[in-house]
Amino acid sequence: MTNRYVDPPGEGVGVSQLSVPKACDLAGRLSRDAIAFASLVDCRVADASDVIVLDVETETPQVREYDIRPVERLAVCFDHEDSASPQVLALREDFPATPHQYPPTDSVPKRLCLFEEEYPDLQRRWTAAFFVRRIRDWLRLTARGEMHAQDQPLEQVFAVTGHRIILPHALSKLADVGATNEAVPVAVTGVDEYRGRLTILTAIAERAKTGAPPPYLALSFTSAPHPPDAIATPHTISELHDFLAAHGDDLIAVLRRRLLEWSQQPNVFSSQLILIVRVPKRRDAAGAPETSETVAFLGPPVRDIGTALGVWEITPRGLALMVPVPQERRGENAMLEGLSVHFRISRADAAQLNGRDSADDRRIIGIGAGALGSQVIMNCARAAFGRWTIIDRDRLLPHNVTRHALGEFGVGYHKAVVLASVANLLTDDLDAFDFVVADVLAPGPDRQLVEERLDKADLIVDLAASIAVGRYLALDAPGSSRRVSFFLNPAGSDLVMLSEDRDRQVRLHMLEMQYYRAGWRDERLRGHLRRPEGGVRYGRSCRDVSLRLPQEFVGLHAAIAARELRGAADRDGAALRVWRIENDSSQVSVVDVDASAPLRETLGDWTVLYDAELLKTIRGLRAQRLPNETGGILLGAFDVERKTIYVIDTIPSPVDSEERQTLYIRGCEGLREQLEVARRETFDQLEYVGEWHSHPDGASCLPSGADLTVLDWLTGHMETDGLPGILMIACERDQLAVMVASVTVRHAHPLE
Amino acid sequence: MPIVTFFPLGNADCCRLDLAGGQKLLFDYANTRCADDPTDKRIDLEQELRSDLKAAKRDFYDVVAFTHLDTDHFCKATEFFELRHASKYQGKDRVKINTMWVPAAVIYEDRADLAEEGRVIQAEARYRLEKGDGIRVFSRPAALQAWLKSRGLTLDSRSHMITDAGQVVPGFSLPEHGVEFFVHSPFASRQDDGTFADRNTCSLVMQVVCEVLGRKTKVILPADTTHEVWTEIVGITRFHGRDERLEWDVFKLPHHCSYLVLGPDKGTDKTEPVEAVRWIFEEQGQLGAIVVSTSDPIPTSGDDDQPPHRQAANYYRDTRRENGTFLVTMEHPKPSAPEPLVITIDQRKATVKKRAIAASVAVTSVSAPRAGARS
Repeated sequence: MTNRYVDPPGEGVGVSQLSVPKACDLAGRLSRDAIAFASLVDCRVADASDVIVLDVETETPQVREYDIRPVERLAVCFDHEDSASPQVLALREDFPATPHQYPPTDSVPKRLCLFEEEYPDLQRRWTAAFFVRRIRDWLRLTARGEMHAQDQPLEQVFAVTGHRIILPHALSKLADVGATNEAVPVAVTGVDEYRGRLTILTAIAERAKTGAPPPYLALSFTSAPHPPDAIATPHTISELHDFLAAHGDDLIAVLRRRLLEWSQQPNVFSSQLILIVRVPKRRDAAGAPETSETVAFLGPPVRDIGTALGVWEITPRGLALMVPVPQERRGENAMLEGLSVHFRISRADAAQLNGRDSADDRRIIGIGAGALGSQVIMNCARAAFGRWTIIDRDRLLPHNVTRHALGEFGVGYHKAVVLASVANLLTDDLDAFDFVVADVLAPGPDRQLVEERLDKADLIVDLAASIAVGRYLALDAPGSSRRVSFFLNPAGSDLVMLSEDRDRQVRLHMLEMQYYRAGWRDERLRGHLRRPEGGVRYGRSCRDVSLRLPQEFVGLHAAIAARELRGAADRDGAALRVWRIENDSSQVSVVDVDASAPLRETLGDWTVLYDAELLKTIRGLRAQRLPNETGGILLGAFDVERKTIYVIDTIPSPVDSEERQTLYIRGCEGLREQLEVARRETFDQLEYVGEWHSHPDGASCLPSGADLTVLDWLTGHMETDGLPGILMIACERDQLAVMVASVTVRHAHPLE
Repeated sequence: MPIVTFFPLGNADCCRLDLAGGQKLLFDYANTRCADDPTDKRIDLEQELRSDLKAAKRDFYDVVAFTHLDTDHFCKATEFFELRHASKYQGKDRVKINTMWVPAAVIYEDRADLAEEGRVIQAEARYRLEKGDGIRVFSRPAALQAWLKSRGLTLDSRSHMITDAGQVVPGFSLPEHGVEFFVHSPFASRQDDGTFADRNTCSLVMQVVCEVLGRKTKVILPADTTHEVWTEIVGITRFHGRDERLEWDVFKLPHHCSYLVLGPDKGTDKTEPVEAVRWIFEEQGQLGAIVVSTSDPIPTSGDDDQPPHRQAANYYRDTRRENGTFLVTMEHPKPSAPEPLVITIDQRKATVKKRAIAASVAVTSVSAPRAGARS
């Protein structure tokens, strides 16, 4: 195995006669033995370049995918202008054809393609050591057949022509389209030309379409399986045929048959042929093909191919079919130009390129395709997370495009329709995203459709920025799957996630209340729900964000929401989380609020909802004051439509209250101010809903005569607003009596 | 992924085998470096092994084999390892040996020329065998009977700690550990009168078979073994029809590239091997196989009595020129700065690592030199 080398370019010179600084540096370092595993063989000068010949020692395993030797001799050609990455030539005569070489790969010497980066990017960190290390890495990985990491899409550098073709994903999979030795038509859907270089877009041709003669005609041919050698570069149909014939295919016969069919459609004669060849690869002769390599060529017009293959002659009177076909015409003159091949991606590819193992096919309903919603959905689409039904009733208006995933092309159309279509076009799966143009709260004729989708969903995502939608999903919408809400605070600087637990014990409406409580009690959320100062507002709800809001905030939060959605979808428990952007530094901090178990009392036609956290607070305040009584006012919210009263927090006993062993008189000093703060910090979502006080140990939880007086007093006051009030009595052994003060449910209480 | 590491120690041996499951086995320990001599290119073996153990969060080896009781196999071992037989060899910094492997002679042969450290290792081996814990002796079992009897022990009580030639060492298997150890020596040859003559009792010779993703890589690890012994080993192996037990992908040369491994005559420029040894090196080496000489750099001229012998090296170079590699520990990666010779084993069999370490990695892998105004 003595290595035979081809002559490198140029004439031998001394190191001092080199002129390109990078060449001088490399030669100098090599001659000083300053670069590990590399040594200088020769310095040369050619017409336009300095040439350094060096031996590099390669890390090669015993068993090699490609025959890279432990020592390889290379010539590096530095062009005198230093305008392009140096050419690296493998001088060994029998250096193998491998991936990542410049074509033609059947030439000698082979030219290695070392860099994916552009040369200007490389120049910044170019050193001789870096360069030699890259050469050695190329040789090492090629020897192992690992030049391509699995997550690295293979970009063929097949075509020195610079033409590209983008193929449908189905053609990348052997099983999907086209049997061995069969050609199937591929539709050319678009061609873009830039400075003489073509990019050709294709799709699977459902059926031959008539109409204007297409300028290009594409065929995909699947060959018999080959062993895993690299494919040499054929320059003519004849050479391609010979390459395929070695494993039993007859490309010329296949093409001749096609040409005969085409001869019936004269309008295709001027179309140029695009030939796509899929070569299945297998490791050993008995095994099933493991991979396939796809190459594509731009050939002559159909008319000339027919002549070159002896199917017809062009005569002054038109086309004359040749019978019998002259077998010696084998397309020697039918020149082929290589196209570099790219495939459209599948959902699995999208998931993997996003760092996930596989696409997630759970059925997700996304309600709301506004600024945040559209961007969250597109983030999920790019990562193939979920098969979505997008429900939204709005059309995209011109001002929306400033913060919407869609652009001007969608203006005037329904957001849900365009968004689903754009999401589907990301991958080859055109059914992953579906839409319903409807208001989920008033779906009209689509009611049945909407409810059916909700019922069958695996996950319901509320992106509607509407409390009403959240309450509907929590309490009224069909289906048993978990609901997750994402919305921004009024300033748009914070993102809120309310995520129900898997069993839906803590639902969106209770999480919403707990979120309000945290909004005014939790220092970490200070200012979160305040009205933005000076901002123009058009909304009325705390989830309507300001019209003046940077897209950066929405984009950042949409990224977080898409990521968190994946986590929320698989979590067991409920979650309440807020992300806050620091305006000056753009730092994002996260605030986790513990979700609390909900408690419920039904009193007459009213339902009182509170939670374990409130119980704990009241219990604590009572214990502090024992043996005296204490109390305070209750904060919460009313849902009159659903006859529900939420009780979520308390403002404890004001300082001027009278607290004795069997007596409590709630004072009022500072109370209004505190209530005002609670309202301001919760965007008016928390309000006064009633009173509570404690009974000492040994005393019953039943309301005393005095308590009933309080109840009457409360009823009277609340009645002026048309609302009921709540009276709670806390006593020993953690018991709590709940009473609704209302003209309709007077004195009702739940004690057993 | 199993890793075989040879250390640049001059004419001395130490080979570490790291198994995929994290086990570490050491074949010999000879820390030959002269600490006072800044020009000594030999590696500080103790420091090298300690930093490896520290990275692996370990203070022990699963196995330490002393393949031959000559100084070039155990130099300073009694300063590095914890020995159970005397408290002066115990302390928290000492590295523990779970199981010690020794050839038979270490147990029953009292050599007058044995160096002091050799006596200590012999005492340790004998102590462990007497206690019946942490030892494996490679021997024909019956050959140990007299010694055991002299200590009041029966062969039966110790037979599970004895492995004869032609056997695979218990405790390691291809399915479970991805490795097996086949023993070639010490062995016994049958005499004309039907009795056995124990041969090469002072040297351990093994074939280590590693399997990764269904592909086997074979490493021959012999202690000092001459061509006469190899001829016998080849004869026995082929008699039993087990040629594959002498196949190899990595061959650690015995005795630092001595011509006596190949044949009786050194030759002028190249040693000619005897037939059995020729068969091993020219027919049993697999595609791309690697010969490792654990020795000083090969002299380019002259005729030193001491190995390495350039004539023997020429033979190995010639046989591997077409197919494989001949490497010398003190020449790898270059004679001016030898480094540990690391051979990784995977489904592509053996690969000699030749990684040039980036400066940022090198600098951040060690402490920076002392800096500051006060000196």
